[in-house]
Order: sequence, then C-alpha cells, then structure tokens
Amino acid sequence: MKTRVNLERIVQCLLLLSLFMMFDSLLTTNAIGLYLHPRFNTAATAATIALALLFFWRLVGLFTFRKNTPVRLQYIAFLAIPALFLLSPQQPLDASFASLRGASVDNATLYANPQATAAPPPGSLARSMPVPDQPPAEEPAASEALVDHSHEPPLIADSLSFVPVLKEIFDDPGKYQGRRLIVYGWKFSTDEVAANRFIIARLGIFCCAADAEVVGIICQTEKPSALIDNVWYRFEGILRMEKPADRTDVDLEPYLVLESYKPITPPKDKYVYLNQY
Amino acid sequence: LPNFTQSFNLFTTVFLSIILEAIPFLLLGTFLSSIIEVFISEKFFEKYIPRNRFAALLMATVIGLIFPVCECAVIPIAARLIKKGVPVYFAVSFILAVPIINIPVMLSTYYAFSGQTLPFLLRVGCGFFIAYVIGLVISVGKKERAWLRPTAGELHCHHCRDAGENAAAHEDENDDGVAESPAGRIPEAQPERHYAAPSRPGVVLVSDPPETAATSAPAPTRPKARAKLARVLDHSVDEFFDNGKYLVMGAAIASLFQTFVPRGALAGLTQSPVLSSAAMGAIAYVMSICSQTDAFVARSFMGQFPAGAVVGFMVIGAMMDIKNTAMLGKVFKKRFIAILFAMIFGLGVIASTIINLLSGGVT
Repeated sequence: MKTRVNLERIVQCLLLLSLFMMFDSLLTTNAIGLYLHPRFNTAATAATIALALLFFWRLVGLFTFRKNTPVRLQYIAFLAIPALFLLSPQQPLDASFASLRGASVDNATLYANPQATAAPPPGSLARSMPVPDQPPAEEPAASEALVDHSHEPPLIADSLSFVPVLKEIFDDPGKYQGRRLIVYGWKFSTDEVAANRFIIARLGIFCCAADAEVVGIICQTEKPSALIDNVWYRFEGILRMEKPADRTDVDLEPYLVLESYKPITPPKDKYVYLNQY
Repeated sequence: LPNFTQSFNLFTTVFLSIILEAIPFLLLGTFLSSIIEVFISEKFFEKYIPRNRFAALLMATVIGLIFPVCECAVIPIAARLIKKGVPVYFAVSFILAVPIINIPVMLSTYYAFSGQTLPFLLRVGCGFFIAYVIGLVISVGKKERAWLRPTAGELHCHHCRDAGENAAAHEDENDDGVAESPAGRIPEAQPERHYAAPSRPGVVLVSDPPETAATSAPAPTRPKARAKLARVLDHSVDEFFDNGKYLVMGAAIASLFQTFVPRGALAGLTQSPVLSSAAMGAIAYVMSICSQTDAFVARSFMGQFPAGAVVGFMVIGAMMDIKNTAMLGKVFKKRFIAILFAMIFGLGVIASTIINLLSGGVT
C-alpha cells in the first residue's frame, strides 16, 4: 500500500497543537486570568484535553490517508490565534479600555453575585451622582450619621475583597456610615461626577475581558487633580452616605471622603471577578 | 506609535478573550454535532419532531430547557439537524431560541437583575415570540431548503470530498456505519467508507483500488464502537475547523469595534424609544457577548437606556451577533442571513419599543 502524506491534515495537526499549547500554557502559568473569569478554568481545561485528543487523532491518521488534498485558505484565519497570542504582550486591559466604556460606570455590576440580597438594584452611579457644581445631597439622619465606628477595624477592599466589601457597603449603606475604608484601585476621572470627585475603579469581568466593566466607588477630595488619572493608589478615607438626587428606589448611596492616599505597584491580578457562581 | 501599540494590545486581549471563551463551547458543539451525525438517524427526528408546524416550532423554541447550549455550540448542531432532514424552520427557531430559553441563561438573567422577575420574563417572552414568529414565517415558504448553501448538506465531509463523493453517500449508511445499497441491502463484501481510517482492519475507502478492497476483512467483523468513535473524531476535527474560521472572523470584527468605538458614541440616542432600542441592538450585535453573561452587561446599561432597550440588548444579542453571523454563513446563503438579521433586528426593536412605551421610558 502506498502511503502519502496529506498536507491538509498536517496543517490541521499543527493548528490543533498550537491551540493545545496556547491553552496549556495559559492554564499552567495562570495567565488565563488575563482573559477569562476563573470559573471558566474548568471549561478551558476540558478544551485543552479535547484539543489534545483531536491532535493525537489527526497525528495517528496523518500517514494513513492515501489521497492528498489541497490546503484550504480557511486555515489562515486560524493562524491568527497563535500569531496574536505570541505577539500579545499578555497584559490585562487597562484604563484605556475603561475610557472606552466610560459612560457605563455602574456599581450595579457589583450585585451580580446571586448571594446579594434581594434589595432593589442600586442603579448606576452616574445617574445617582449629583451633577457637577452642585453640592452633594444631604447626609442621612443624625442617628445614622452618629454611629461610632472608631473602635472597628477599617474595611479593606483589595483584589480579593473588592467586590464582596463594596457589595456589602452598597447593600447596607447605613450600617457603614462613618466606617474607615481602605481601597486599592486606580483613579478614574469622568465628567459624570462632580468636579471634586472621581471613581476609585477596578475592571470587573463577568466572563471574559471582552465584557469588562468599570466597577468602583465614588471618592471625594478637595484636590482631585493632585492624583494622576489611571495610576494605582491605596486610598484611605471615611465612608459617607448621601441620598441620590434623582432616585426613588435607593435611599442611600456611599462615597468615600479621602483622607490619605499613596501610589502603589499595580497588583498582579488587575481584574476583579464578578458573578462568582 | 504609542496609540497603535495600545490599540493593538487592547485588540489582542479582547480578541483572545473571545476566542478562549468560545473554543470550549465550539468544541462541545462540534462533538455533539458529530455524535448526532454518527449515532442518531433521520428516523429519530422523523419520529419525535411533530409534523404540525405549530407544534414543531413550540418544540424548537423550548427544547433548550433540556438541551442547554450557547450560541457558539448551537449552530453546528443546527446545521447537523438540517442535514439529518430536520425542517429549516425548526432549525432556525432552535438557533434563535436556545441561547435564551435555557436554564443557565434564565438563571443568569434572574440573578443579574437581583432576583427581579420582570426583566427575566420579558427576555424569555420576547425571545420565545421572535424565535417562534421567524420560524413560522420561514415555514410558510415552500422551498425553505433553497436558503441553504450548496455546501451545507456536505458539512465539511472531508473524506467524501477526498473520495470525490458528495455527502449524500453518508446517508446510505445503516446504523452499523456500513454502506447500504439504495434498496437498503448491504452489498456483498462492501466495506465501510468515509470516516474510518483505512489503516484499520476491514476498513477501506470506496475510492481504493479493487485489489485493496479485496484484501480487507468483511465489514461485520469490524468493531462497531471503534469505527463509530473514529467517525465522531474525524467529524469533530473537520467541523471544528469549518465552524471555527467564522468564529475567528467574527471575534476579530467584534474586537475591532470594541477597540475603536466608544460605547458612549451611541449615548445620544437614549432619549428615543425606537432609536434607543436600535442602538442597544446594534451594541449587542457588535459586542458579541455570550448569552450566559450578557444580562450582567445589560444591567450595567440600566440608568442610561430605557428598560425596553435593555431587554432588546439581551434578546437581539443572544439571537445574532457578529461572530454567529459569520458562523451562519457556513450553512445559509447570504441573502437568507440578511433577511434573518432584518427580521431579528426588526422584531427585537419593535418589542423593545413597545416595552419602552408601556413603561413610559423608565430607565
């Protein structure tokens, strides 16, 4: 029996191998978190196994086909995947992406976790915030404002706790009036907040980097211009609450009155992950 | 140059994230499609799909409740169903409804809106209505198979192509994977063809020279399970590449939009009930987000867009986006895809606008 090499199968083999290696490399180095929510790790692992299986199947059958077939142009499209993977700097999305999404700054995304209470959705920060040059709405009743939190440790919203801590604050804002909060994030300026305010932001992803959304909390300071846009800081301040001017379904919304800040090295995992179920 | 570098990095990150998210589900779809091809006969569908078109459409639109697959997986499966003789209108309604009316998507919608039932019900209701109506419209046509691409029936049958045959040859195989004559009898010493590698005992291609075939063992001695598994794997590889190229193209276009078009570009349209619905439909189409997560993104638009437009985002985007438009191109003719797109978009915008008007434009 005369054995020939089937060129199309060789191309398929190489592409399956490259895809397998890409998935394997991303999983073993944990770099898959740059692109996908961790809950997709199982699916990515299954895909790696399936690609390996298909690769070996094609490899085994590589020399058993006796008729050569032309290599179709469709495989050029597939070359884009390993090529872009190799050319990619393997960096997470940054503030430039947030700027593209700027109009959708919305803390409602923090409520993606099903463990959240069934409270009415808090809506968007953008809508609830006062328009520029207007003073913030009145603070809550004195009984709520006078809760003494001085003996309590500060809340810390870092990479791991960013979503649960902010969710808790937004779920029950009155409870945290006056509480000290430390947040790790970057300064995100937007015209949709008052001139003395900005957003302490992180990029949250639901599934993959393509659906990343800006999540965070409003920060108020006398001199916002002293901080540089898109630079990572450790923010520390006191939580205050205000009644949204244009909302009826939300009684109070939190903001942070900044007391101190210092630049930090960006964390290894720049995203926060939403919808963790 | 810095801007180019930044844009390139952004593009590659978004592109790779879409691809990495979709490939596991594409593989799932191709495996399921191949299993259908190898293990399920046309008679099965004839038996279980109602002949009454209204009942069949009802089945197509709710089958996702027991068959939950996302839009990346549903197209290869639907293509396979069409090849198995399932009516095109059934397959189209199946493609449109399954990404919305399945348990994981329904749960994610429910959770995304903090347990509120109205957005969830509106999404499911609109999805059902649009999928059913479009299926019904297609079923009225007398030549629905004329909308299929000439190659759709072949479905990348590699081995057929290699052997210079068409895919109809597959349909001559009985449950054992052995070719039958038109009369349904197994010809004497007729070996299996197509999807089994010829190196295995008893397996040769029909294009093999007679002397090769003569040296092969009779088909009945060949292990059935092994041959069927071989066919599943061969189908899966070919189908993965055939569907995947459209996924790659769609992901590239979606990533370009995400890189260069700010979301706020359409914000000026939010005041109009109709234009806001159309804008949200366009955003959903371009973003190409998986239907299992789009509700969370949709919710982030609450406060900026009217409620109906947000529902439209969840309905239109799940039914059709850039990447599955490209994948549909493998099965249907361009004209049909354009008509289908117009129907989805039109009905989606109408439904969204009605919700906008009934809700008084509440955001």
